[in-house]
Amino acid sequence: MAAEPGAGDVSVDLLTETYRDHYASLLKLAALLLDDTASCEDVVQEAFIRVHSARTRVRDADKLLAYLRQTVVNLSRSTLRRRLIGLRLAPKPMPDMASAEEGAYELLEKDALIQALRGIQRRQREVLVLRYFADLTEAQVATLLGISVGSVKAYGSRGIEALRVRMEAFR
Amino acid sequence: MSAPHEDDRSPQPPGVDSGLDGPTVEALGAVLRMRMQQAVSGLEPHPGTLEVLRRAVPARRRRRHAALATTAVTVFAVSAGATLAARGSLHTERPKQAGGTDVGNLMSTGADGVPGGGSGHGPAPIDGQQMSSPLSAATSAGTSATSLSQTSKAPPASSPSSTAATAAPALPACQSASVLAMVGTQSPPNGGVTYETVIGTVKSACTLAGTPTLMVSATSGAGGGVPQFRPDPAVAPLLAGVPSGRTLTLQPGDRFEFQYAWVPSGCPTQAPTSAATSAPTSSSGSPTAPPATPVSTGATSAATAPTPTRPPTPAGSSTSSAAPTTSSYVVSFALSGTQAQQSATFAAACGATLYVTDFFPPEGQGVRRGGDAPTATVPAAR
Repeated sequence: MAAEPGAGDVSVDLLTETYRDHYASLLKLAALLLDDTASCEDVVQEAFIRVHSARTRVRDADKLLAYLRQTVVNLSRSTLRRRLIGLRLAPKPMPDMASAEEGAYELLEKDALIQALRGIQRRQREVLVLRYFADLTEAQVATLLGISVGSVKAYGSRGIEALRVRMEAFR
Repeated sequence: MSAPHEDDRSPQPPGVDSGLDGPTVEALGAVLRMRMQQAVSGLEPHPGTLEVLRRAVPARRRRRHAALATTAVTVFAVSAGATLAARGSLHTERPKQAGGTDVGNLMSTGADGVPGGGSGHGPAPIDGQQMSSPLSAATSAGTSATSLSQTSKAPPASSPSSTAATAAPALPACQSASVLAMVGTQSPPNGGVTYETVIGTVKSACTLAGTPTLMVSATSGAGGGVPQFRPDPAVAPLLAGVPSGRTLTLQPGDRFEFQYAWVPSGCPTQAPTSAATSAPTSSSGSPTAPPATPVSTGATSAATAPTPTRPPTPAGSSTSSAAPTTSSYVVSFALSGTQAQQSATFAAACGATLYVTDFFPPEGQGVRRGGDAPTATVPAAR
């Protein structure tokens, strides 16, 4: 991080840098965790706002990505649990306007892997996404989800098996 | 779609019933990693998201700070309001005395350290008495007693925290017409000293300050002068210790009090021959030496203070073998004028001395007083 957090302008610079570095990956992480692609953008934006609004978190630049990822996971879980629809910070496209991401989301909805991921348990999905998409170690996944490493291994193994079964069912 | 939000059951160890061994899991994991990347590769942030974040983050901070400030202000307002409400309820629930006197003045009385000597002997305040304005009290007050010492004092220019504080400078001095009732209580002689407590009730707002002027007359028509002094604890220890220099601001129904001690003078056993023709002086007749600052009685009282028709007979004279004849004296008091509003009878054979306190509020009545200086005193006239 080149910008030193603390002041307001510096924080904006840090926000821009963090956005350029991590926003896309966090958006993809949210798309894999959520079963509602419309909420992905809201979840990631809310995560950015929360983390950057708290100056104590912004000051610790080394842990900024961890904070963001943790927040994305928590918000995705909350969205899945309560169907949180209040996080509408991004301007919604007009009904007659076709956004640039519309095609990407359509492809995402048609992807067999995404469909299979949405069919397995939430814990298994979280472990698989964090373990293989975010490339986190089992210990990091365990820390992020608040479970033991053994549970991460078990969720991962059973999640892969469940995912394989569902992928074969789509064929 | 099956339920994506299933329970968080504790998983079994990997490979127990999944049918996958370690290398298989790793291989599937690699394939899964590649497929995940491909699935979301087309996702890009919404255009304008960065601008939204740049606006949203400071706005969120402002809202958070505003919420904190609002919470702090609310907590302060609620606590302050509760405190003020508690104080207000205590103030409004303060009971009133029967005559309308604020009982809260009891506290100020205690704070002033005014002992209530002779308290409780005065008349009860009159209920339902009409409150007269200071202006009407001023117009109804008499003007004949302006020469008296207690009426010559102007109301204080400043007054402490009292409800009558603002009206105090406009209040007139108490006159005889301002008094509704005045009652005197005489205590049995104690060590030869008789104490009299006088409590008066005013019917109009006025101020009172200084020392009352007592008029002394002998019923037998003879006798000498009776000097008046400030209280001397050595001579009259039971007199209330009243701080001097106070101005009482009295509202209708309020009471005032003063005390005096009648100290008969001892008859001299030996006296010069010339003493038979002269009245005994206060220094010769007083059981103790009088204070250096005698209390004034003024020229008016000097004219009204008669001398006993039978002066004390000194011992050793031609009439030394006869016992001294006791004379009766009438000590009267009036706020203004010469018509007594309260009087008491005392006896003395060879003259007496009066020790008079300043006006003070009775016990149980608050003090509305100003801060003027003590009045100058004039030696008692005989």
